[in-house]
Amino acid sequence: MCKIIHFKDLECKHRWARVVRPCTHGTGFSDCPSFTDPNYVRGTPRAYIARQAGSNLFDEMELSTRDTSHVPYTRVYEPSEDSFLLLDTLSSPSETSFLTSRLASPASPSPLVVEIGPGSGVVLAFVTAHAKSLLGTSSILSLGIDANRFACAATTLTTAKAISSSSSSSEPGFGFYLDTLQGDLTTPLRLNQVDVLIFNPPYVPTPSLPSLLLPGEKNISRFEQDSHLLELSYAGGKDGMETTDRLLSQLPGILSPRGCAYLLLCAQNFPDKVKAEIVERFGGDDGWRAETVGTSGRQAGWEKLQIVRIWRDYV
Amino acid sequence: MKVLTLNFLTCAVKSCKSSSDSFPLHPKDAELAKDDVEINPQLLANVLPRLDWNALRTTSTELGFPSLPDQPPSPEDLTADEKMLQELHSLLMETQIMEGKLVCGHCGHEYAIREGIANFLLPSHLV
Ligand SMILES: C[S@@+](CC[C@H](N)C(=O)[O-])C[C@H]1O[C@@H](n2cnc3c(N)ncnc32)[C@H](O)[C@@H]1O
Ligand SMILES: [Zn+2]
Repeated sequence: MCKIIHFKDLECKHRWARVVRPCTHGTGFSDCPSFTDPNYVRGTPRAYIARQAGSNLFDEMELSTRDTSHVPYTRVYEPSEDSFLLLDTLSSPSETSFLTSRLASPASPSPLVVEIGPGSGVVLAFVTAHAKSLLGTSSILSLGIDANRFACAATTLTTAKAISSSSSSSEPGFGFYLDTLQGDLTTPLRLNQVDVLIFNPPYVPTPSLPSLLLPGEKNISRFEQDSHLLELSYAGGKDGMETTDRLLSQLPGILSPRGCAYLLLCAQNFPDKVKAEIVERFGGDDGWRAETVGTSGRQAGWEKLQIVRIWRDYV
Repeated sequence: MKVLTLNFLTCAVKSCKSSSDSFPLHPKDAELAKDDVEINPQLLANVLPRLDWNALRTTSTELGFPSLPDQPPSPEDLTADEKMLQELHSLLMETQIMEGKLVCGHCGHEYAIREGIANFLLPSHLV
């Protein structure tokens, strides 16, 4: 089924929906069975969820992630349910206490937070702007790496805006944003430096993966370029796992000893199998763990998303 | 791209990772810009212990900055030495490479920096 997200404007109450992730390449409102299926369940409008939650962090999140007016959504992934699940999970009490206990001892050096594929930058901006409340310390460095050059520029701006709105709050606790590089996964990074890695990957099963380089940049139209870049943001190849599998194989070499990763998976990725394989491949005896720490469940037939935390229990 | 970022990067070519020549990458034809960033002594004190100081010294010299001491200053030195604090802040947090290249000392590959964004995507024959 195609994934659509419902929106409701809090002022005028107008409702609308967008296809945020087609079920297979090229499907949409006109030809996907989801829209003729009577069992199809309406999603709750996101803005509504956030207001209902009523916690301070959520209100701040709404504030700090709202300003993405500069992001060109014809060519950069627009924040969707998956992005919000990441934000919800990273700001949940269990994750903030896990991260704080691992990263925020007084004498410890600045943690490095890296997001792969930051897209519009909402997640990295949120973590950077609220470093102190999420990670227990504002002495963090944050860095993004995205294959899409427009996403790199967007992330830098989104983060700058989030930091400036956080710095005017009564208790600023923002970290230091480094850069967003154009690159393939973690390949530009030195080994074993990353303390928190975040990845909302292209996870939809597709017959093939688009290339990371734009095809023959000169002779293709703007429309073709944009479609290519959007495809890059969701197309995951076999089981939706081709890009995620490459990231996973880099992980042990990339994380620091105290490092952990937050990875988004959908039901079609066979998350239970993925988690078991991580522990088996990396070595459960060496302390490697992979556990679900956030879910966004829906009725039967809906794509179910989850966040898996991968880390090493050191004693 | 900030000078501080360079301290975390190597060549993206897989076979270069194990070579000490792939770090740090060497700036070439670099055009620099300076941002105004509020100084944060605590952040600097927490960042220094995790940097590769020798690599930073190399980068600093290659970009034409005054040479850094052999050893990184301790947190105490840093709080006592206003000038050192200011210099490191300016180099690490305020200086940006806007245009130019980063060259791998092992394979010679050049990564372009345009409009402040470094491109580490490899041409298909190097992947
Ligand atoms: C699902 S979007 C997530 C965007 C954003 N993090 C969010 O949650 O809204 C996936 C992102 O990964 C990027 N991406 C895809 N393949 C990549 C690769 N091999 N290396 C780096 N980034 C990649 C895409 O350009 C896109 O921005
Ligand atoms: Zn190289």
